[in-house]
Amino acid sequence: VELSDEIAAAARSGDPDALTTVYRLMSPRVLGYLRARGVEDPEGLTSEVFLGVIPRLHELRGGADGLSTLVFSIAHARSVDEVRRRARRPRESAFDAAADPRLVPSAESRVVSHDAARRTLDRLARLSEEQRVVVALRVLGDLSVEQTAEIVGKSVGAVKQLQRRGLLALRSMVESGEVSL
Amino acid sequence: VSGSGFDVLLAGAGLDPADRQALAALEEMLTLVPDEAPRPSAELQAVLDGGPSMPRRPGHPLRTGVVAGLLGLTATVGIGAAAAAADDLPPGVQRAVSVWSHRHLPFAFPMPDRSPHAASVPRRPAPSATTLPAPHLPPPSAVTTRRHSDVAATPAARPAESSPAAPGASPSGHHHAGGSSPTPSATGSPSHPAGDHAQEPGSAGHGGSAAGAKGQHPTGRPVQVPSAQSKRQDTEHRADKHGNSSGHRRMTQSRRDRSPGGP
Repeated sequence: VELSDEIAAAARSGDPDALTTVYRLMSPRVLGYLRARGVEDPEGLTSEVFLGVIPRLHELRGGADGLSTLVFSIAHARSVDEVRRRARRPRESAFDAAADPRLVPSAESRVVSHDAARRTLDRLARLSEEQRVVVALRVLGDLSVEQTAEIVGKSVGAVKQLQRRGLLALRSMVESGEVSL
Repeated sequence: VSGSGFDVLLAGAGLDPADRQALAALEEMLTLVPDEAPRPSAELQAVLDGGPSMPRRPGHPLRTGVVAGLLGLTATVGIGAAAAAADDLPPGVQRAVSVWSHRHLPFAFPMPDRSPHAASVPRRPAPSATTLPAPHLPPPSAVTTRRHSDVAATPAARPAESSPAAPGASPSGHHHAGGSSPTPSATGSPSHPAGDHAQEPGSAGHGGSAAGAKGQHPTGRPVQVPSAQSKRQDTEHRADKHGNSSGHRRMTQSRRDRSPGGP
């Protein structure tokens, strides 16, 4: 089942089945985007994103594409808030050797246990913030250049430029094998 | 994003769609997306099950407009009625509202002051029967002067001030000031018997009669005229309150009169 305009319209009217379908179809991509952004609790934030989406469904315009734009707009905003919050108030805790990512894999690393996923996170961490957002929205969110431009608040040309530079950087990383496992 | 999607993505970025390194990077990015949907939180699960946090559709624009219109109409009528009651409307509008209210409402708005019909429409009735009738009211300037003098001579206002030039000063004032002066009669000042105040309701100009005449208190409130007996009792009460009262002296004097030795 793919996200269609009919499902989006039913979700807009508050149909619980349609809402469940929307969550089932879109939450994996939202979770992947939040993982790519490096948030602390991507699964919990995914639920918060949909809790923020549902009250705003009456604003929905544009069918399935509009719903994707709305969902990832909220996901992007929440991730930006989370990153800013972490930068403003870094969490302080006593040293725990069992939680040291230099000694053992972090919780996120255990969730994303696949080597390819870990390599991807490492590569994305080397991109600039804007390149990372644009590439993640284009690849993981499956959004168009126009939708991405609307979400990040930039022009289509700027998004294309960021996408190009980001993809070139990823390609060069793969080519040179600069990824540490 | 499928393989064809990658082609479009790479082509749009100016890269070769068949570039193996670029395709490998994109393929590995998809590993961040799980195959199954993550388990929703308890709050989200309740919403998805049709809980109380389901989205509510906004009100219909027509219904919202009707409600807003009714609220605006109610506010307009209320403000207009308040203005009409205060005779603040333009004379023509005020006259029309007044005539309409006379015909259709159980109450009536006043006619405008400048209207020729103003005299025919009764204004607000007098608040009470104790108010002075219009013919007995002194001119406004006299009232103002008299009120000032009343306040100056009122015992409550200046209890210790009593001079012979101030007519109607209270008897207690004489006691406080002199003590050896002749004791006035308990019925009040000899020059102002209580009966005079009852006889002259409008003569509030006599000192100390501000509360004794039927008229208005200096504060503007209507006052009640006490009878001669009640005024006498009041004077005795005030005298008793000061201890060295004229009643006490009068009783002492009568004992002396009755004593065999005489004074």
